[in-house]
Formats: sequence, structure tokens, C-alpha cells
Amino acid sequence: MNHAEIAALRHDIGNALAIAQANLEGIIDGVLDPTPERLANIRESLAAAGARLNDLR
Amino acid sequence: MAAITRLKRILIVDDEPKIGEALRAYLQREGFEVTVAGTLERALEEYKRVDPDIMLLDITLTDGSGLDVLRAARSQGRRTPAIMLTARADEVDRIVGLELGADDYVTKPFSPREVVARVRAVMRRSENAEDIARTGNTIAIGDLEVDIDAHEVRIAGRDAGVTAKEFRVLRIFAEHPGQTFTRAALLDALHDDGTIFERTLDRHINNLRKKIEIDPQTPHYLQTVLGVGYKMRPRDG
Repeated sequence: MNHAEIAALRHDIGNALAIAQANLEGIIDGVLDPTPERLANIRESLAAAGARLNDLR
Repeated sequence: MAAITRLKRILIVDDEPKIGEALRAYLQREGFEVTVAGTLERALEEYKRVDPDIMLLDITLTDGSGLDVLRAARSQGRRTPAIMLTARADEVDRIVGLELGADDYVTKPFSPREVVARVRAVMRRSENAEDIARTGNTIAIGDLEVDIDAHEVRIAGRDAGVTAKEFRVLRIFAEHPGQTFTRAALLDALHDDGTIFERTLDRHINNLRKKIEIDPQTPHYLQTVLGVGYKMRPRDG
């Protein structure tokens, strides 16, 4: 894997985890409502991060 | 500026709406007026429209970079504080070393609470910088301070108790240290409305000397230039 590919991977995983963390913390801190849509988004983001991580193999 | 409490405005630029919206919720709770933009194009429009007090800028956007927003602000001579967001650790060195002067950066993934703490810290720093600029409106020559905003003259930190007219006269000298003024030139510089005359000028100078000089007979600050007029001693003279 070259430098550009690693940078892209870092970018995608970082963004996906950022969505999950920001929204989950928002729910815990009471600034965001735990709507079914928001919870689904968190799950999707974690799944996307996991999928990109598997690209490292 | 005597700011009547208005909400601080923040511009958030991130091409992931779900990140932008989570940050919006946190920063609104902090009392910010929040604008979120998802593209560089929108960000540049909103920057002009909102005139933010601080910006959170994602570096990687679909149509450009958050750095372009910073560049646009700086090219207009604006020092709007900015915190960069990036998912790429390899970009961090580049941001920090930038002549564009981002104030801080946060790497993704981040805790929104951490972002709020950074925003507060950067706001505090930039407000302190404004305070220093304001106290900078004081002319200091040795132990003599001419405080333009407070209309006050201090000598070794103590109020010299000058009158309004004496202040106006001394201010001209303090703004041009080392420059000799004839009486006529001084009256000109005062843009006087007729309340200070050539013959009363000498009296104002004598009174000023009594208030600011240790020995008014051999003045250290307001010096006589024989046969010409007066001058304030040069800053480092």
C-alpha cells in the first residue's frame, strides 16, 4: 500500500469514526436526540470504518 | 468596542453533514450562533454573509480545502481565528507550519467536547489580544504615558491631572516625539477653535511642565528649542 492509499484510508476511517463518536457523545451528553435515524447512522459509520479497516489486509 | 452582548458567530465547514450537525448542537448549547457549510463554495459565501468570530474548517472538502477559506479571509486582511479539522495526521505538520496562521487543529475522530474546549480557548486568546491592542492606544515615552482613550496623562504610573487643553497640547507632542513645533505649527496641529491662543500656549506648556517634569526649569520631556519652539524628547533620547 502506497502513501496516498494509506492517507485515503486514514481519511475515510477517521471521518466514519468521527461521525459515530460525535453523534453518540451528543446523545449521551443530551444535546442530540436518539432518533432511530441517528442510531442507524452511527451503526452505518462504524460498519464503514470496519470495512475500510479490512482493506488493510 | 463596547460590545452589547451579541452572540458569538461560528462558521463550521465540513463536507460530512452528520459531523457538522453534531458540532452545531454542541456549539449552540454553548451560546454560539452557528452556521454550517458543506462545500468550499458555500463556505466562502457564508464567510462573507456571516462575518464569523471564529471558524472550524475541515481541510478536505469535495470541491477544495478548508485552507482556501482561511486564505480568502487572510487575503482580505482578516484575522478571524480558525481551528482546522483533519482526518489525516500527515497534514498536521503542514497546517501548524502554515503562514496562514490557523490557531489550532483537531484530528478526526474527535470528541465534540474537546472541540468545544478548543473553541473556547482560541476565543479567549483572541479576546485577550484585542485588549492588548486597546491598551496599546497609549503613547509611552520614558515614564510618561499619554493615554489617548482615557484622556489621561500619567507620570511614573500616577495621574498627572492635566486639563483638557493641556492634554490636547501634550498629545500633539507625544505623537511626534523629537519633532520641533513652532507656536504657529502647534496651533495648526491643534485645529483649534479659537480657545487656545499663541500667547496662552506658553502658559499651557509651563503648566504641563509643572505636572510632568521632575524639575520644570530643566525639562526632560517637553524641551525648549531656543528661538524656534518646543519638542518632545525623542523616544530613545
